Amino acid sequence: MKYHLEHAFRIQFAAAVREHHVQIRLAPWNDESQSLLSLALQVEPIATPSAFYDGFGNLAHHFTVLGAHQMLEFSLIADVETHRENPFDFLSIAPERELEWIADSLRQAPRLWDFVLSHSALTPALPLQLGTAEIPRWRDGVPILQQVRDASDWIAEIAEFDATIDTSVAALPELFTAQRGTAADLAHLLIAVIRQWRIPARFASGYLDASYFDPDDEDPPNTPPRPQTLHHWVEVLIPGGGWRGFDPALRLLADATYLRVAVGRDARDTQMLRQTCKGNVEQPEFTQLLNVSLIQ
Amino acid sequence: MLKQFQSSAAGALRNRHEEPMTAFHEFYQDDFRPRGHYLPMWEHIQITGQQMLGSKAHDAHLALHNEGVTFTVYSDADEGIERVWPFDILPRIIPAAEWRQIEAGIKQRIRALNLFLKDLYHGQRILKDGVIPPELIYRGKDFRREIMDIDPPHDIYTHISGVDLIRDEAGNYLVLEDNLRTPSGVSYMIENRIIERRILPEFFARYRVRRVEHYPELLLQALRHLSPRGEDSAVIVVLTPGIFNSAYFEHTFLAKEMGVELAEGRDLVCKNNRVYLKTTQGLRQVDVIYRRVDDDFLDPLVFRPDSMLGVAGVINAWRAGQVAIVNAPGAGIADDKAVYAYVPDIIRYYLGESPILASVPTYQMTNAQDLAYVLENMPTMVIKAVAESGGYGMLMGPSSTAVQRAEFARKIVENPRNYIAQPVVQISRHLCYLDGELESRHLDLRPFAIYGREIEVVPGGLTRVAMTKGSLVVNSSQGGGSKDTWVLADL
Repeated sequence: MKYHLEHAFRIQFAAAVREHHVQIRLAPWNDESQSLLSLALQVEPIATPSAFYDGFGNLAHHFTVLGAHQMLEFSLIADVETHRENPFDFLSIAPERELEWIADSLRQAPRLWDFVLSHSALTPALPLQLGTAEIPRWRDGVPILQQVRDASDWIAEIAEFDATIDTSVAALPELFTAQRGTAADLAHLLIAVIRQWRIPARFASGYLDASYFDPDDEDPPNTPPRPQTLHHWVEVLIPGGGWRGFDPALRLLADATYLRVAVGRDARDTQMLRQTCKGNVEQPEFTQLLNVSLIQ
Repeated sequence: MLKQFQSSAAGALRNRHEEPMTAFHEFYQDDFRPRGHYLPMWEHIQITGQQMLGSKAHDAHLALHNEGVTFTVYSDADEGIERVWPFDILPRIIPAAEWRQIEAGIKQRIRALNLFLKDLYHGQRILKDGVIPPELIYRGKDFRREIMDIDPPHDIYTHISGVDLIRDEAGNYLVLEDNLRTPSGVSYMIENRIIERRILPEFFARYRVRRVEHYPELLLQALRHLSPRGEDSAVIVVLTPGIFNSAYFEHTFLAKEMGVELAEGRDLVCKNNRVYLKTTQGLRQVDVIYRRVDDDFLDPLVFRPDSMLGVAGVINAWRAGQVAIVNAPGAGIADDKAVYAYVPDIIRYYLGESPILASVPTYQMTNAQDLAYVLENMPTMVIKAVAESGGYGMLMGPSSTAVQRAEFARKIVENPRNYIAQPVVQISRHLCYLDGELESRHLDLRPFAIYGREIEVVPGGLTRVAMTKGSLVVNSSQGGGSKDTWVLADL
């Protein structure tokens, strides 16, 4: 599937700022699951963006506007082709050999340890039980893929994805109390569960096919589509299949309608925008417009 | 007069019985006669008497005060933030043969640790080969994923190292710690020498003491060597967190001695992967930053976003090869105290050599057997938080209370990766002239090495002295003092 995407941002300050440094992680990945066909970044006031790959393999850009300005606009325009039509399309490993496969992967690529060992406030080490909910435990003989799907279902039972929440609940056990959370919240919980099993799991951010933002069946007629936003899910190292995406928010496996932009230990590693500036301490007004369209 | 001095010295020796007898004495042999390399000094003191030492000590204190040689002790709130640098006039003397071993050992260690850092932030061969457990690295607070795959100029990460050495009960030199982030103390090493030369010229007449005063010159050469635009046009700055930093004196000292700008984060700005110094003539491109700001605060775009001390964009400029950062960000993982135990293996792995300098046996709290042993034997152990320095986060078992041990035991069990333990080494002692008396005090040695075109270990170092009788804690930030360190030239 081929997509064209445009992601535009405007940062409006109450008064002029200077020495404005911006670092973004918005560019889609280019790997075996998707091809980045074209990419352009426009900035106003004019600046010269530079690109680099971070330690997790994400393509990041940064630029600086030194002079005084009150508004900064930038937009990323890209064409991407996704290839993973069927997320199950791989040669699986027998369940009894899966842990050996994982251990071997960790030996060959020590960088994977980040996705096993990392516990932060967002992906904490979990107790056996939270309130009345028993945390899913590792089950010998059950394929990892199945265990992750079950854990994803368990999350859907205890906390609902709420697309209208724009502030992350984030920390446990608040998520259990609220019984709802953002896609990032649910992804963090799933990661925490899987890391308890010492299976590599990473946080993924990216774009979705526009159809996910269409009105639901129960919405009144002529309801406009919801604004498109960056989405978050989990990628788990599946023996034989490599990194495979699991979306506890939409209860789906990530397929060709998912466009990966950034991965990391948790949401802090994939943060789409980091900026610093001098001259104004008030929070700026921040607006963004995302449009992902299927072109083929 | 002479009699009085001799009785004080004898008193100092008798006092040995009040402390464990096992510590090696730098000054005295086992029969209480001065060691050979101390004899010329000893004879001179015998001739001039103890009053001379009192007068010299007073002069030294006055000189340090007048020249503003200070150090900040944060816990000393009642006395203001700055103290005159505590200095003992009796020098520590290291014979040439002993120094050769120290020098070779430090060079070997630094070569190996730089190869280790390069590997860790690139191919990770040492982890793949199972020499070091990956968990140890990936749980390390100072392992910086943010700098993965960045190539620092000439593959050097630790341009300036301060390697803490102690001597065990048999007099063997052991490495206690590697300080590879922003080791401080070098300005005090030089000031000690300047004062010593002025106060005790007659002592210098009796020895061929190797110079340490050229350290800023060596450092400047090394920094120039790193310049991406070539040595001749190198613009260098010392980046300081500011006046409230405990080592601010040193930052100003080094900038002045090298003739380079002392800058704070707000004096620098990045654009298009280049770093500029703001001057009255406009922006001036910077080639080398000798930073005395910790990794966490170095670049708010990459590390702590709330940092006001660093320079936004400096890591991107470094990645692009447009500026050199000294020491390299991420170097701290190599002086993590849990990694320290593996340094002998690191030396063997990268260099195929046996370590020249031994290390202190270290218990890893992530190892169940080690943990159980340490928890049972806390009164005889030194327990250290792995990412702390300056004597902070440390429990000295023999002088600890039951409450302190219980608190540490709780912390260790809660986060075993964060602690290591070592048996208490009765580190060596030396005569000090304190309050009109000659007393023995424990000490260590921090020689400084500069890695530029090649590795150079400055012949000398900062000898740090535990000013409290019987104490083994020598850190300046914990109230420790210092001595000048004389490395003797070959005859």
